Amino acid sequence: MKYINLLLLTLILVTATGCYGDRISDYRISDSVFIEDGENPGLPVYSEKGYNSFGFYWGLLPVSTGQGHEQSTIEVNDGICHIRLFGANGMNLYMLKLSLPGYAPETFSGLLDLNGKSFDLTDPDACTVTLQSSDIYSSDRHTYNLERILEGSFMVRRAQNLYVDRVLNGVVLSGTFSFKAIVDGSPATFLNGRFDMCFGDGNFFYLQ
Amino acid sequence: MKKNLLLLLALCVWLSAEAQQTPRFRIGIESGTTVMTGKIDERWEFRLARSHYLPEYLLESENAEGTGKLQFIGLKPELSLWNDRITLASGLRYVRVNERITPFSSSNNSQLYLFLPSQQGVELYRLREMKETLGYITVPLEADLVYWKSSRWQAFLKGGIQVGMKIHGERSLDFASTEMERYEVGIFAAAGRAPSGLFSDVYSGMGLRAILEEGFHFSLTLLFPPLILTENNFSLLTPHSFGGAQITFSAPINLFSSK
Repeated sequence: MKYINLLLLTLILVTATGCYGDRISDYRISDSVFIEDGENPGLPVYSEKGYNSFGFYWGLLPVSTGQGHEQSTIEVNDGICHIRLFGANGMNLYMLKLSLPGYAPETFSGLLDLNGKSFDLTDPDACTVTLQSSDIYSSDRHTYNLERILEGSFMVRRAQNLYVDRVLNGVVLSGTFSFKAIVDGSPATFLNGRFDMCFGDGNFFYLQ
Repeated sequence: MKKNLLLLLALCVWLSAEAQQTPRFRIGIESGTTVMTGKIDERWEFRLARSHYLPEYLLESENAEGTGKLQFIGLKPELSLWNDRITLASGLRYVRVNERITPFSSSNNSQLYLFLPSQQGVELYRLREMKETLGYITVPLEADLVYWKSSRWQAFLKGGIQVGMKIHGERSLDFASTEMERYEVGIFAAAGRAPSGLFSDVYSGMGLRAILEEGFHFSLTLLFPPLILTENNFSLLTPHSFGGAQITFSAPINLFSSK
């Protein structure tokens, strides 16, 4: 009897290991590559290579990926897909969350459905926007009150698989966004937004 | 026009007369090496291994380093004219070119991520190194002009041109994972054309020659960056400059005479 339990345990361990045999998470691929856009100083150049880059102008303030910020993630919960993009400007960290109601992929491979999709940010049934900030010395986050999106859109120009040594590593979402909004009672612009993020086992979470 | 032709004819006659005074045939062995520097060929694109802040004018391949070396060995018959002031040489050379692309870091764990154009999405291959070795047989034509001489030493300027054909070429990828080796041929095929079979360049240099016993000569030439006349000779690097050295050891032909 005891040998049967041992055999079952071995079988479970072997099966669990085999499930991850066809997918890898390469740490170096998770790093962010920042190549400055010469026409938009302070922002990364637009790319479709899984460089894990992100940036936008908040008024005249450039916010972008670099060292000392969190990894961008996708969380699927309660039938909503939340795309969290993290960037920084000096000591200040920023998180821009775009929530897509009614879109709930179970795996990161489902993100390929976003290829070429555009979302009207003035329509909360299409996409809602959340903006938070903190500084590197504090874990407290300040959530800005985006009372109203005046105009703007979020577009996934390209969604494609990323392979390392012919093994699927994740899905790369690359695109652009811009919008105008009333933030904490004052109008503000968020322009020249771009992102090129790879989402895989390490940063895609299906919580339903 | 007539005056120019007459002057040219007079010059040829005078040179011929000078050449007839002390023509000396020599046979020599030469060897040389030049260092290749340049940018990595645009067909190869690499993902940066670490987060870097780079201006846009630096390409993604800046995290990789390209180096190369050109070495040659040959047999060189020489003809000395004008009391050894001018030496004309030709012969047969074997030229070997070695190129490498490696990560900047010398760490044992450092590796390159090579982008491969694909309709499947973003395809990356982990490499430790890329290598290319090319071999050519060339025929050089050289002329040395002595601008200073003593009883034992000569200083000279060299100019030359060589033309040749490729006789062998090998390219290899050192994958981080040995399982990827079977895709090497496909990766090179996707990257485009193989190096051209024809090679030609013009080169120059300045050197010092020692006049040894029994008429032996030993020369050391510092070579300036050559001008490559043919295109698509290398698939890893786009050479911007060479610099190098050439040594030649030659003996007079009459030394081998049975008289």
